[in-house]
Amino acid sequence: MIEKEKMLSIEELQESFGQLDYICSKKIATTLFLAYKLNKPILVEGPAGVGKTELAKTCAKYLGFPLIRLQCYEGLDESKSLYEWKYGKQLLYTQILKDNLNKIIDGKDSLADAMVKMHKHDDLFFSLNFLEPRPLLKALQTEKGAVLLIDEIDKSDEEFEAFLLEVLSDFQVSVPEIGTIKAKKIPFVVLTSNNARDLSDALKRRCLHLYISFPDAQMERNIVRAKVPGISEELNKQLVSFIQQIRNLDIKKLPSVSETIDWAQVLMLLCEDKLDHEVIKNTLNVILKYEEDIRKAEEKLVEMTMIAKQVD
Amino acid sequence: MDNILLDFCFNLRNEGVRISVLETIDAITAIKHIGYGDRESFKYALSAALIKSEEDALIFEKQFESFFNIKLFDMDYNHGIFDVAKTPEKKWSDLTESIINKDDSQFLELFNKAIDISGLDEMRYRTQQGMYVQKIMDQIGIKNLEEDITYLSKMKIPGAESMVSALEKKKKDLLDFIDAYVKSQYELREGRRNKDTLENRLQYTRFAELKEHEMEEMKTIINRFVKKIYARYSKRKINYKKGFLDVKKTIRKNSSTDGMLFDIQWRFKKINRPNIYVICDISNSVRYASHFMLLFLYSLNKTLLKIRSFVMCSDLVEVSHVFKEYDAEEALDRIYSGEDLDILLGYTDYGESFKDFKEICGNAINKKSTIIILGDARNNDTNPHIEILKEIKDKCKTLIWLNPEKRLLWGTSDSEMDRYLPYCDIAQECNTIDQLNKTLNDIFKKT
Repeated sequence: MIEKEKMLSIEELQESFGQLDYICSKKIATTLFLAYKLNKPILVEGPAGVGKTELAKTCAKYLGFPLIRLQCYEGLDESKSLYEWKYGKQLLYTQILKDNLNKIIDGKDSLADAMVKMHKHDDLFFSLNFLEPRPLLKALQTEKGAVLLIDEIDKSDEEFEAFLLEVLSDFQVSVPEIGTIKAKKIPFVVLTSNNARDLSDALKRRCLHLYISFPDAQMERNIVRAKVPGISEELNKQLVSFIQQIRNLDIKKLPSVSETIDWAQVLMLLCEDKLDHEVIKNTLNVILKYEEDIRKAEEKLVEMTMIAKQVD
Repeated sequence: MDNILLDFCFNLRNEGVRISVLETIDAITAIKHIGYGDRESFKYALSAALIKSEEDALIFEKQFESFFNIKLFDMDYNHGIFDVAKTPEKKWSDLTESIINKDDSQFLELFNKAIDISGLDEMRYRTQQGMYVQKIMDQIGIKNLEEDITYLSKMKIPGAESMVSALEKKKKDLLDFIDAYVKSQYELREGRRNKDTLENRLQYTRFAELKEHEMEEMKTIINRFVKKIYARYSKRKINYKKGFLDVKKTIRKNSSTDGMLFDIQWRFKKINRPNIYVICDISNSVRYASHFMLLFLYSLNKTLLKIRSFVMCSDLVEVSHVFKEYDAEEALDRIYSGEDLDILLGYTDYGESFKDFKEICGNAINKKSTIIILGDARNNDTNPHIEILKEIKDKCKTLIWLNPEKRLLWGTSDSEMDRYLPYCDIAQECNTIDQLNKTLNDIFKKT
């Protein structure tokens, strides 16, 4: 297969992503394009379920790089994100080599002489062979490049965020026993955040920022069309209109794009080709996840169904 | 182009968006890749590089529209009209050429250079605007354009006439553009200077002397301070997590590996959340100050978990739930009107209020609690019940009194401040944002 050059222009990117079933707005495409050209990480923010993680996955597909994912959570630290020594292997090797110790020391009598001999070997146990790379290190070590997805960075502790700064700005990490490891090829980094807490300015400064909000009706229709092939145009229009109306209600959890897709699939399975009151009522729990929200939506159901049906 | 971008960054900073040098450089590099032919991607590129939060995005949106509203991007008119002009016999001036070729980047480059040479940065006074417009026009080569137009009008080639009119029109657009640009730059700089001083001044202005229109500004300042306090507080929390080796736990945990220490257990310090009680006087005598105190209190309520708020006048009532339920404006309205609250809004009576306070949460107060009282201690000559304050003080960890009155006035006429004073761990004059901020920082250090 002939390798096409990637990221030629914003339009090309938008189109290729479309072929990979990710409908992206010009804003998203521009930011991706820049991130690639400037070798900068992207910080993606937005409500849950608008396709932040999906964006990184599609990037990996598009660029043909492996996707390396680091899921953040409270208490995540270096040993889980960067590297760890293979303690077991180290232990095992020492056990095996124990019998050969005499040969190495080679009959030296004094302790000092033995130590000098030993010193020639000690670093072996702290070499790359005994290093277990975790996502961050793995991303730096790939030959061809990789897409590194640091998911839900807002869930991690502030210390971890500070630690990330070195990785993100210089694309290198320091392992005390070995030295600094530089990226062979700078990975394409995507960070996502749900705004659980404010990220530090230092981190934001190092990233390009992309805020993805809920798509408008036109966009959402395109997304549904791409993700649920075979859906009738009429149903698509009505259901997107309905969802958009629901997002205007004052409810606990707004339905996300992924829920729109789920709902479309459910309606397809039920062989519905248009919306009506009864169908919506029976399937409302696909898009709304709180009893309270469902009740609120049911109050306005008739009205909203009417409007959804009039969309052309 | 760089100059224009720098001016734009300057505008954003002026509006309160924090932009670092690195981000400015990013923006400039980004534009090098994107170009300015497409307004939409131009905008998105700038936003990606400069804007990092939702609040800033709103400011950006507004600023971008007003800054780049000038017809920078529609050089595109009547296709083909200039084809005749692309004759080799005459060397057009740079400006004319940029218009003929519809070359935005060349035009912007010229404009950029003109701004640079004319020294627009040094504009200080309103009356200088005309001079700078003239300077920029000279630099950009308006004279050459005029010469070209005259030359063209004498030429006897078909289409020359329409070209002349098109160029004339562009010339007029250009004049308008430069005019608007200089004007907007002047206003921005002027606005910024005013704002700088206003913000600084407000921090040190006594609450009593604030004017109506400064209130809004004040709110943003308060919000910023509270955010800072919160940031500090949440950082402290994490430091608390580190603990000592827990020998007992470690031995128990590692008994399965025959006592080899594989899994070491730590003893964690308990996170010490500040346990704060705030009593705020809302009587008329301190109305001017209590407004801000309550705003502060409201923000603190939103960020700290264990804070209980009380307001007092003739007696005292808890308002923590009001803060929780309503947004700032409504909560304050409700408190001042006493709606749904069991409070007597008559003469201030500290003695009675302390009695009420003791009744409501006398049992809950322990050696971990901090009590903050905001008020002027003017008791209208009723019994101050000093013994109750002493009792409260003995129970709690720290008792802090913030008094909006000047220290000199404490204890004069009906003020009981000097009698309460011995039972306060800290008693401070507090009537500007700056003082309030300092005091609160102290409190958070101690708790």
